[in-house]
Amino acid sequence: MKPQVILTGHDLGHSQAVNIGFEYALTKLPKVFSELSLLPNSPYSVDGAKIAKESSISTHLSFCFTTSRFKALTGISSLTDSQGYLHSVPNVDTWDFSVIDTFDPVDITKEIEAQYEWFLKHVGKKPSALVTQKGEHGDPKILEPLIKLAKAENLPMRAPLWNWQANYGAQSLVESEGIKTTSQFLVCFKDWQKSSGYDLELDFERIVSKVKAHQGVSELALFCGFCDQELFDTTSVSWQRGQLLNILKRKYYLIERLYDEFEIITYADLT
Amino acid sequence: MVLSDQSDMDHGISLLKQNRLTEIGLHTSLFPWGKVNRPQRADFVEFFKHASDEDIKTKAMAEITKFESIFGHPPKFISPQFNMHGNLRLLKVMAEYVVKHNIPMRIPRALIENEEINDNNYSAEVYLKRLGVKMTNHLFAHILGADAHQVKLSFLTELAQVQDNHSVEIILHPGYNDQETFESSSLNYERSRDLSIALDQNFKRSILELNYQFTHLSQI
Repeated sequence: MKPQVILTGHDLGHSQAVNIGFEYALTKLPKVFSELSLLPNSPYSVDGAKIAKESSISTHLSFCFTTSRFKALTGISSLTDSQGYLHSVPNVDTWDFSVIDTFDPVDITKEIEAQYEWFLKHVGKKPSALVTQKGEHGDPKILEPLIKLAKAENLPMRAPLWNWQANYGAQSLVESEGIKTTSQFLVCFKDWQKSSGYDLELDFERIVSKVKAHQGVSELALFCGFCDQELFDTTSVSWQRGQLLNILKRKYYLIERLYDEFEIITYADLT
Repeated sequence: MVLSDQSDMDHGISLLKQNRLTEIGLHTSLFPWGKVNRPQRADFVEFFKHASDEDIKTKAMAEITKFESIFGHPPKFISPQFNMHGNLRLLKVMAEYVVKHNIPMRIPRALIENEEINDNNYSAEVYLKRLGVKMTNHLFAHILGADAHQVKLSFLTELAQVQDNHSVEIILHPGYNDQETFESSSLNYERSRDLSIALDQNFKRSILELNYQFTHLSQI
């Protein structure tokens, strides 16, 4: 039996250049995504929702709590600064999310409800699953209200990993609550040209072997987008989003290999 | 500077003026570098197979003359697209011009057929050396691929191995990545990667700590 894999287009709605890249990938390039991950609170989220609807690809809700460029949907609260922008993460490199310590649980619940309502309104149906943009639901403070929502709405949830690594306490809690979930999350693709060779294929082998060595369902996050000044100035993941477009146009055999090696599924297929 | 479509070229020139840049070289492409018909490596390979020496000279000099008419002076250096001056017939035409005007050229390190910068073009390099054409001693580039950190480390490793008093040209292709770039060039997202490298002050500082000084090709 082939390992099961969800191929997620990550961060739809993040910025204009990201949306244009997604639209381009979905309309002009060969198939890749089995899921789209839609952000609810960016200035470009409404456009992202339109792209998701037109694609007919299964779309999950990517709750957003710590991206300081975006505003909370519930206005000023313990989650935000005095202008309503979400508090920033002090240091993503060290995965320091201590900012969540100061979040009031009541504000978290309200924001979760608002982001969920936004999704229903703009996509017109329930999300295929509940996830968080940076995996913040690996923190129990975010996870517990999210579990309540998942159970109430009978929705699957991405594995509550931490820094995309195993996070037993949170993962076992989700499983014990009977929520369908994944168990591994990998960010693709990262390649570079050494002095004498293109290493994309090698990196691809790393991903394939990680999936094969793993029990349970893996989710591969694919960043997608063009890169304009807005994106470049506001996130550390800017130009990297162009890699997937390049692979789809010029090295599609790598994506075909994913479809050959794995059973590509959606969140709805989780058992 | 690439002599591209008029609107792109005008934009490029306005950026040069805005930033008061004066060290402008010519990135020769022989064929019109248009939005729609953009020559690829294979086009140059084919062209050199069939073109006469006169054809090559006509195309090369037309581009140089166009540069002179735009800027009012010869280019400060010449760095042909895809390092196509590795072709000796083109090299001879360009060498005649750069010797006459005492202009440096990019060291012809790459083969036009490959995307890699390598050392396999001794004949072209020695030809320019014997004519006394100014070139850097080294040319470093990591053109494709996505790990900016590794690219910077590779540059620094290479720079650390360079002999004292040698000069190096590092090639970067800074830019944003939009649909037009994506569809017309296999080098697309890497341009934004290079923008991030070019703006990285730590990377610059690391180069200076290796005892380098930044300069222009015209000053080597």
